[in-house]
Amino acid sequence: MNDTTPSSNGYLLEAVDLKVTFRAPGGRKLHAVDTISIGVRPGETVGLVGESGSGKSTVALTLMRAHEPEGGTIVFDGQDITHFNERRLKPIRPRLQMVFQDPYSSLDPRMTVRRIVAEPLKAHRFGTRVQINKRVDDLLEQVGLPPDAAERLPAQFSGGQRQRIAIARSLALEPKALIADEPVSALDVSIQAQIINLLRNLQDRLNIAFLVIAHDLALIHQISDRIVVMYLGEAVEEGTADDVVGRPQHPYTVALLSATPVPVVGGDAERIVLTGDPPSPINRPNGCRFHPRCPVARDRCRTDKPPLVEIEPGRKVACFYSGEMPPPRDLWAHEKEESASTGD
Amino acid sequence: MSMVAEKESTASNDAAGTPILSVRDLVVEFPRPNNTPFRAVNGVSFELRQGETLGIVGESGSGKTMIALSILGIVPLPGRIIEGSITLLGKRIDNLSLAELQKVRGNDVGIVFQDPMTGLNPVRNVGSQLKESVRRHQHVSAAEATEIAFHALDDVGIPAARDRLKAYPHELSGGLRQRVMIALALINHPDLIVADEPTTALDSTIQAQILDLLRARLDKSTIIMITHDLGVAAEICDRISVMYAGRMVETGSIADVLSGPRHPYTEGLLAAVPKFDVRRPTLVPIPGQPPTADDAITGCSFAPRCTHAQSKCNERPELELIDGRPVSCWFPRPGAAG
Ligand SMILES: Nc1ncnc2c1ncn2[C@@H]1O[C@H](COP(=O)(O)OP(=O)(O)OP(=O)(O)O)[C@@H](O)[C@H]1O
Ligand SMILES: Nc1ncnc2c1ncn2[C@@H]1O[C@H](COP(=O)(O)OP(=O)(O)OP(=O)(O)O)[C@@H](O)[C@H]1O
Ligand SMILES: [Mg+2]
Ligand SMILES: [Mg+2]
Repeated sequence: MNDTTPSSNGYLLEAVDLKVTFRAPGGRKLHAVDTISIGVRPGETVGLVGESGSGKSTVALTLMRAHEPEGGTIVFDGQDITHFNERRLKPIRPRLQMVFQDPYSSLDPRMTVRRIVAEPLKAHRFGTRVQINKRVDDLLEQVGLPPDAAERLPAQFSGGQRQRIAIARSLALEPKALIADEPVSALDVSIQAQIINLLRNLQDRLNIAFLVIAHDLALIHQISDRIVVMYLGEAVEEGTADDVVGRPQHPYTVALLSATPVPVVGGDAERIVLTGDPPSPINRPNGCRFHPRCPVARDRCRTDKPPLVEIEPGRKVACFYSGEMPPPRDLWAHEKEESASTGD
Repeated sequence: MSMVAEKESTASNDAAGTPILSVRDLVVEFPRPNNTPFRAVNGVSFELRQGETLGIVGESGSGKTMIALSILGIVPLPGRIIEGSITLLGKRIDNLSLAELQKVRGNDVGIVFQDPMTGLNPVRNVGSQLKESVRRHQHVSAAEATEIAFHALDDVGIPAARDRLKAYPHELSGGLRQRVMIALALINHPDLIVADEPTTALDSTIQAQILDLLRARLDKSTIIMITHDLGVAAEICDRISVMYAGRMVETGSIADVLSGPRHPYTEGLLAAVPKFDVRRPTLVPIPGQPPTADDAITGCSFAPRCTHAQSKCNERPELELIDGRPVSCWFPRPGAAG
């Protein structure tokens, strides 16, 4: 049984040329997202990474129709939902769910965890009260929360526990597309692994299209099929997870990878330190948005803006001199040593 | 910077002398209706010397944030510190009045809250919150406070910092908000910085910048870094303590703990760190679930999940020195030697 209609390129959820702006103090425009296209196929995981403040959450929230885009279209399940009103969105909501970045403000502090997780179930007439209660208990157990959690208030939980409440709620209706904004950043790595495995099993079973935002590149590499790298509101690099992490082409991606700390003392020896001020989305640099901080920028980069071009099928980079940055220090080196030493 | 009023040295803190912070046998309890209270922190002791960075890592829900809030005297009700003592700069602070605590906060201790909304007021712009904190602790004019606030935002790598002074917390991305909190924690140059997951919302390049900024403060400050990212711990901490179910189960130099964990929980945690190697169909969590308040475990709290547990583990293991570092386990792992 397949009750979804992906678009011609196979995407279940897609943004085409999405543009989102906010009003900054002083009446100027803040360009949070400037023409990005991103799509997720059923059963696929797309990882969205990039600078803090580069527009990742804005992309996610706009896909959910929580922000109005200034331009572009949003397509879900073959329908253009860009201008759907709340009434027309309602039947879509159960199939399109999101875990918000901030588990503190996204949970109503006056509601018990049971009510929070049951809310979507009630709104979409999941079943009888008994069935709903049973479903809530199952969900809480799946995300590793204690049985008495249901009767408590959000404030009575640790950061990571709240994040799991939000995950349980997003899974309640078994969505077809799930957007998760930093879903596991507040969790210890063991519970993180448990939650990721849970999401993967669910994805396999329900063929979920999964868009995940995270700063942990090792984790993103582990779970994503494709990765999109954002910088100042735009996509600068895109490709399979192995390609983006193993053969990064954009200098920003290289810097991002090189700055990833590894849990080994002295493991950060070859970090590439970005100099220059981080860019402002209110007053963006001309030419390539990354040029003021780019170690390999030339004159051309200061005046011309490199387009995002497809260098191989499914592999895109926005850089005139892509691939010129030396690859980051061998991120896999310490693990090779490790497995060599534990191998005997 | 010249405008930052130099604080008079509050205590003699020559390296061998009194520690900056000393926490002894801390117990934090939450009462439960018709039930035994829940011990979120269950007998935790540690010390910090000038310029040192202690990492606290471990299980989600194991009491890390409660330790941080205890130091600030702001354990949320109905939670309470029911045992133990906290001594900061030679002075007991676990029994201070609210007014006395106000002075300690910001001046002696700066905290980066895990929950951005505990740290920031949602209805006031970022600039006025920073300025208020500056003027509460430093004798400067309003104009000087504005400059200090601007530089504090600039230091944490916030683009267009001057414009952002007028921004409200909800107008900031997760990582920008986190950086505003770091700026707020550092703005009065506290002796002790307590940072609770300060870089979870930051990309690696900005995270590196923040870690450098913290490191640069170490000549005057001492840091407690609570984090789930063992890579971050490796970069900045001298020592780490690993928490499980309200207790510190292992403490040691960062190199010793990462390269030779002695407690089986630490070992499991390290094995679960996602790595940059071939993509795997599943990640490896520690099997089983952490204990809940109702599991009346009298022995080792990790035993029900531990592959090395034996009948002896039904008794509670005390912290004992193994190779010079405290570990609470009857059957410690071989560590780096194995
Ligand atoms: N409601 C809003 N009003 C004004 N500006 C906003 C609003 N929401 C986001 N912004 C701005 O838009 C830009 C992009 O923010 P966004 O939250 O999408 O970034 P992000 O990539 O998710 O960053 P992070 O990794 O730090 O969470 C930022 O400069 C942010 O301050
Ligand atoms: N108001 C409360 N009432 C009852 N229990 C509480 C309350 N606040 C916190 N707790 C419990 O106290 C324990 C410790 O919480 P704490 O926030 O210190 O955990 P943590 O180690 O910081 O976890 P995380 O890594 O997820 O942030 C948790 O198990 C939590 O459920
Ligand atoms: Mg975000
Ligand atoms: Mg916490």
